[in-house]
Amino acid sequence: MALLRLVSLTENIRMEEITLVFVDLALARAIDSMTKISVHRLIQMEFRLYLNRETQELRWEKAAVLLHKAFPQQRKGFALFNEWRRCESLIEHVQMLAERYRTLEEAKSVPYLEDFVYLVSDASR
Amino acid sequence: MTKIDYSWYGGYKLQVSQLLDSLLRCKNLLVAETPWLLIFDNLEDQKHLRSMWPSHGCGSIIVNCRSELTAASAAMESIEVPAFTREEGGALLLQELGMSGSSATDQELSNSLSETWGGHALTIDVMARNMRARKKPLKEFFKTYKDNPRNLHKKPRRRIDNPYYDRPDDTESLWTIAFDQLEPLEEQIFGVLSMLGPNDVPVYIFYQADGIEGLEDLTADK
Repeated sequence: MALLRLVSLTENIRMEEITLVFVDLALARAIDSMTKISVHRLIQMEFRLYLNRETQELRWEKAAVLLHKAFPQQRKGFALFNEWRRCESLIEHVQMLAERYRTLEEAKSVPYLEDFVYLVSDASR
Repeated sequence: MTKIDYSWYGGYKLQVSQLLDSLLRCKNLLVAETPWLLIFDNLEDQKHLRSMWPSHGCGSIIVNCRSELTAASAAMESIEVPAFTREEGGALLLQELGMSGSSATDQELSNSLSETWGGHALTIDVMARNMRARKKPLKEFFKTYKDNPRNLHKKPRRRIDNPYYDRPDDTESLWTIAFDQLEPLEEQIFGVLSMLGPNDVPVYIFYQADGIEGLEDLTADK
């Protein structure tokens, strides 16, 4: 299981403030006491198109790094059954990240990223 | 700028185009004893309500806006209008194209398009008008859209207008205005969100490693 860093109260409030900006601009919805965020798929697509290609790659890489750190990591060949709840909350996002990889790959603009390789490997367990 | 399209009073339709000019007239109408209904349509900022909010009279007010925070601050009760389901959106698209009762293939195509647009009513409406204006059959439009969605999100120079929804902007600029308001760190976090699944992204993923501050090392990269 990935070790989570202890979150300071200030940081927590800051993230809530940022989430509120998204909500106020009607770009996202905050769910479950602001522990989850949902963004309409059309807004996601428009935002990706709004970013230039280079920035898209950087955001994709950052998403892969963050997800890899959050996703339970497979060790010594053991399966991840005991981490199922965390896997369940993240697997959809790993699949979507892989889908985005295909799009970037078609444009031949995504570099090799070790975090993504390990993330997909862990998620396939 | 917020715009009041119409005020209704005793069945008499009064068009009001200038907010300030209409203010006094509206207030005079609203203090009357006849029940009234006032609609603020497409409210973008609650500050526009302060000078317009009636303090007298017996009436009801409906505020229609995108932001749930604006809705919550202005209204006694807020109601969310959910997006259409895949099938509902598909049915609306076919209806707008005058193709109700069409083949199973067309129904599946329209459902797929509805799913792509996440059941977003305005987009379905704009796209249906696009299809009619371009005289493209569903199958052909589907392929064109998949190849280049952004072109079709822009407002065409020649189009069929919706008389019930007179907004000057198109689907693309609808969100670009909001995107431009994001600060660099917010833009980064939203960029990460746009790469993940649309539903229920756990916020804790942003607390990994160096935390939120750690994301700021990339703020100059746009």
